[in-house]
Amino acid sequence: MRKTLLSTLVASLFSAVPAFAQTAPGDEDVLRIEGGGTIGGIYNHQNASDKAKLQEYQDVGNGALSNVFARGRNSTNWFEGYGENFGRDDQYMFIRGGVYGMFKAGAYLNDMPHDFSTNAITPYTGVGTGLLVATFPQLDPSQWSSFNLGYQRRDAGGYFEWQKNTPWYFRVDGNQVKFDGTKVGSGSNANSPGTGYIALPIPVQYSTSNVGVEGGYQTSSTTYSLRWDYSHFDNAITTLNWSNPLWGSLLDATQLPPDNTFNKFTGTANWRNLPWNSVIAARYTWSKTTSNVNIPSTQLNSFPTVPAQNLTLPDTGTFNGENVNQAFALGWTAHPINTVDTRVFYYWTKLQNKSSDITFGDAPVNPLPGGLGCGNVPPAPPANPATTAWPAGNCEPDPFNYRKNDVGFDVFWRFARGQRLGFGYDYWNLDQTRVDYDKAHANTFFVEYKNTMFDTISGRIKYRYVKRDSTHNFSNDGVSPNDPNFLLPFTSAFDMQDLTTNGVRLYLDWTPLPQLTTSFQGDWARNNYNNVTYGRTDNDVQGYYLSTSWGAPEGIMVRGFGDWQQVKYPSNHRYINTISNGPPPTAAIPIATPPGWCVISGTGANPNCFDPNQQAYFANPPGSNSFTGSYNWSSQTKDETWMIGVGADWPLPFAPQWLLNASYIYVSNNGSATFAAPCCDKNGNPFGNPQNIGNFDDTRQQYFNIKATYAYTKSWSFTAGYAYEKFSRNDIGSQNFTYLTPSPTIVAPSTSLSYLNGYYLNPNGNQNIFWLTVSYKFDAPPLPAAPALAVAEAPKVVALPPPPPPPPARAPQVQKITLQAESLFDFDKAVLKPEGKAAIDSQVVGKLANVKLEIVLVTGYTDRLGSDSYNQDLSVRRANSVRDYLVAKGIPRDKIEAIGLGKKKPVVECNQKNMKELIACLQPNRRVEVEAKGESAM
Amino acid sequence: MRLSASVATRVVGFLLAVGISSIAQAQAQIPATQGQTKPICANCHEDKWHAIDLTAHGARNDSNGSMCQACHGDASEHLKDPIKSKPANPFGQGKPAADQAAVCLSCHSGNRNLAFWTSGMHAINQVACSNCHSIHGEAVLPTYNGVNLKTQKVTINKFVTSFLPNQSEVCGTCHQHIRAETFKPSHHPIIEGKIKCSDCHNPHGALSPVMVKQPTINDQCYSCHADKRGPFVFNHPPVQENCATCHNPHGSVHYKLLREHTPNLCQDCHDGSRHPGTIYGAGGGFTCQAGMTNDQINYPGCFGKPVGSLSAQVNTRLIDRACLNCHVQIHGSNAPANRGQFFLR
Repeated sequence: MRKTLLSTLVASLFSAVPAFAQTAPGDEDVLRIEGGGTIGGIYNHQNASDKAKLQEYQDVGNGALSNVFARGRNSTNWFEGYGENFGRDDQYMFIRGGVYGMFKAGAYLNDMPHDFSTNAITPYTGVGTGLLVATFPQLDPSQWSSFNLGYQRRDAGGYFEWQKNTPWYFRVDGNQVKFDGTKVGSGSNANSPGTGYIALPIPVQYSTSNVGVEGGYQTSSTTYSLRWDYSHFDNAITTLNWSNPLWGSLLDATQLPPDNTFNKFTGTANWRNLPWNSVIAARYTWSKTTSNVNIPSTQLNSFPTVPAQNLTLPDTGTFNGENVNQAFALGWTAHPINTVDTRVFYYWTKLQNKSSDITFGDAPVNPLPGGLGCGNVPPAPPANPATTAWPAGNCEPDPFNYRKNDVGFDVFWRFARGQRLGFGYDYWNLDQTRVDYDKAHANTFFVEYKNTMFDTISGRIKYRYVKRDSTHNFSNDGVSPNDPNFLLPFTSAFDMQDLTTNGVRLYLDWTPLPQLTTSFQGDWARNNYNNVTYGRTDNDVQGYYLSTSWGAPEGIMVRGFGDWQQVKYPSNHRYINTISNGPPPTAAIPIATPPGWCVISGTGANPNCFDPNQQAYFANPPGSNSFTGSYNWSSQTKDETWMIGVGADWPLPFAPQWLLNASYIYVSNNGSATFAAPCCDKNGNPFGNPQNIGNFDDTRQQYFNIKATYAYTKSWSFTAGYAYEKFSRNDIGSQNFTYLTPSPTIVAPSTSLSYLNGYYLNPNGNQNIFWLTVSYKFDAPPLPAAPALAVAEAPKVVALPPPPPPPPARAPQVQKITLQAESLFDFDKAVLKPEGKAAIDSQVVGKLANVKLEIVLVTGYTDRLGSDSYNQDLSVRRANSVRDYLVAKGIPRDKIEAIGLGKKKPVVECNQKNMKELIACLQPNRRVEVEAKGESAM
Repeated sequence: MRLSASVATRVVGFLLAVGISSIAQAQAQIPATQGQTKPICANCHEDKWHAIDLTAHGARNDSNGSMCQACHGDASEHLKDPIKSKPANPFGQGKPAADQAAVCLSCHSGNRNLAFWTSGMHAINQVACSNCHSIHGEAVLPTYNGVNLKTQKVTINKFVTSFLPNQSEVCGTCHQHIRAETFKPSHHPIIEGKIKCSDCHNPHGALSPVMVKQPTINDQCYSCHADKRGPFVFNHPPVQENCATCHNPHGSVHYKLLREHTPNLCQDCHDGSRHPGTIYGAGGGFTCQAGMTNDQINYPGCFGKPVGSLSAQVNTRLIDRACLNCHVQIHGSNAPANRGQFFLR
């Protein structure tokens, strides 16, 4: 014993020495590389008017598929490189490498298309630029030109990290992302929906450049780091000019995202190995985003004959945007006793808006659609507009400031073996500048139970309760029910409104048979928005997910999943009518109007009723449109989504060089919207004549994939594949689609037209993809085997706490059973024959039946004929087959070890010259040995 | 006697473990060897060695199998008689996750990505390193940042032009609801392999609620979608507060990752006079004029109907992108006066 201790001490001291040693001269330190490549082709037959729906993020066009990869190292250097689909729109490549303990570096290039529509049409010329020109009206869509709506994205970057001066490290990384193309957009022709809108291909010429520099100090007990990030977003086209169909094709302007600059500092600290096995972690970030924008003094809003209506009247010509964002996070995790884990955390966020405050004059004086002023309550115009300033309008930029504190803890207690209880509490509050809510706070509780007691089944269930309360800013409520602001206190925003949430989540993992596993997850949550008059009242979410996998030993493996989800959003609303068509009602309804209520009938009636409790309607005089007054209504949108997927990998038993893979996925969504409104208008329909929507984003997706791989040799393989994909979308919004859509309230048909480009027109289609590739790979040359080591000199490198002392045991028995390979397997195969299974049943399973097993070791051996590596591989596969069979027979898997020793440890030596005789002589070497150690049940 | 000697050995072994690991940590790595050979463990466990050979773990090994033992425990007794004695091996089935993590963290705790491991949800929920990482698994080339992930053997996916294994299959094994979202019609290119879960989340722990890499959700979204940073003249406060109020980043059945179909999403906050408070249902939109009722190509909703009846095509505020047809710059606008106030330009 003492000798072992001493040798341990000495050996461990020496094992630390090589850290300082250099490579001795004459040592071979060859760079060993493995790698390979693939080349092939793809042919795609698409049946779709708009191919974009089938290829949104990929290049599935006809052409060549390819990849190349390599990885290698010696004792000091390493590298890894990969590239695929060179020359295609979705090509990707990277290279990484370094010197161990000194540095590592890498670079990459990642391309990706984003296709929205391949057959959109537009009357404009100049698609993709900042100037879209056309002469309106353009009443014949067959004369418009077709274009690809979509962009190409390229992300290229790299990093370098210096590690030699441990525990210090230094890192610099950066990348540039460029977008080139167009994206979906549109513009209203004027300020009212009644005058229509036009679909505009928005040019996307973005370039975002990011650089980060980081340094830190890291040991096993503490880590510090400091990082600076810089990002500059550059938009080559910040103003899109386009001919406006309503105003005589004069040029209108849409402001696109401005250039911005972003700077961020991050500091982190970690202290580990504190008392109670604690870790304290902290992070602080400070960031600033800035932009500069020129404010135009006119905006196209009418024909040149009324120039005053085009004035924007800003009080300054330049907007300087600035947002400062700070965040601090602190976490303390502790493990005070063996069975308890605790965590306490604190998060703080602050967003300060330091942008310039711009005021716009209320020009001219009327609200929409006359001028560009924002007021609803018109102030008086200046007496002499040429010399007196316009009164300030009430266009509110809504600068957003925000501060949030969040503190919480959780505790997990393993109160019995395999059983754990968890409990947590979280409190947050926030202050913000927002017109409706300025304060909110929430309490969250959760409790959870986890059971891992049993071998084949384990589960976890978690219940969560959230109670959020907000301060609704009532300072904006109007004075009388004729004032729109009177409605504000009754209108809720669901992201801030008082809320009570109850949610349950359940996980179950069950392994009913050794090769069959199932996994279930169930989610149920109900979010009740409290005290809601108008707005979302509820949000119900349910989701149930099941996945399963099954595999036969050395055989087919099947995996599948099935999911179902349902989401509901019920909400309450109010419709308030204004008289914009037809004469005011003159037929009086003899309803007495209490003071302070909306005047709803008679001469001077104003059905703009902003009182939630009022339902105001009037009998329509003949000749006017059938408008009602004001009433409350409610709706609910619902999405029901389900999907199934199944896949299989099948190494063909009758043809072991073949591997078949197949998978199929089906995804389906049914969306709907239902409405309820009070009864009834003059036609006997509920007010607003609501019609429920049965097709609201009803989508169907199918993906079928099959491929066959033939391993010609260990290096060469061929793969052929076929894929079928189908997409369809049925939505009320694209039903009976027209490129030219009149607005509901037609003033003059040709001037209130909306011009669409058909982005949603043809979503349905399918594609058949055929592909064929040939692959080559080569292994790194193997290292020489370790010299046979005198076991007594084996140095110990013990990095683990010592194992618990073994229980006092009866003398363990070791049984060794040798099975001849011929009885188990066919020549050169590793799949058990029926006779082999019978042999194992009688010789092995029977003997092990009454033994309390400690370990079973299955070792495969071959004879000396053939290459080392081939025999090694065959012996491993044969040992694995026997092991898998024993598992299927009920021997616990964690008690069986399977190894292959190839040609080693032959039991006979043969020297016959005649091959047949030699093979017969070497037969005892071709064997599988099963050694079992355990206590006899007797 | 056997007991006291074994205790002494264990005590010394433990002290040595602490001593060696702190020496090793001061060097930040176990030294690489020169004149390489296979480790002695590979004489039996050849396939396990082959999988790890060309990785950084393999590089630090030596013929004595020091690296093997650094993770699996002392093997000197095992070398004498493999059946009689096995290394302590914390990576066996059913072994506690915290023990496994302790082994990996004994070298990797200083790693800049692992700095917040104990504060993260995976550590608290007893996820072990080997649940996601396959140190010895089949060498699936290429790897992500040099670490093997346990990708599914059977891939269930659409046709993907990329040859790389898909990282979301690893995460989706446990996070089934997220996996379901990624297959919906509107999604980030996750199943196509162009975006990985680890582009937004740090699975190794982070000091933020769902382990996103940046301190807030919006910072995370702006790190790619820099055009939404602004700052804009006219703001939409829910946008600046949390992108996830309206969008579901993992996937949605509605376009642009929106959680609810427009116009209903907007109407859940915005009510009031005229069109925000109007019912947009399946009822018709415009009134069919003369000339539309016999033009099936351009006006299918009017074809065959009497002049003056409502077209079967729904209201312009419901077609296409609904509210966003006119209120285009919904994330914030730099347009002047009421065009910016109402995000029309």
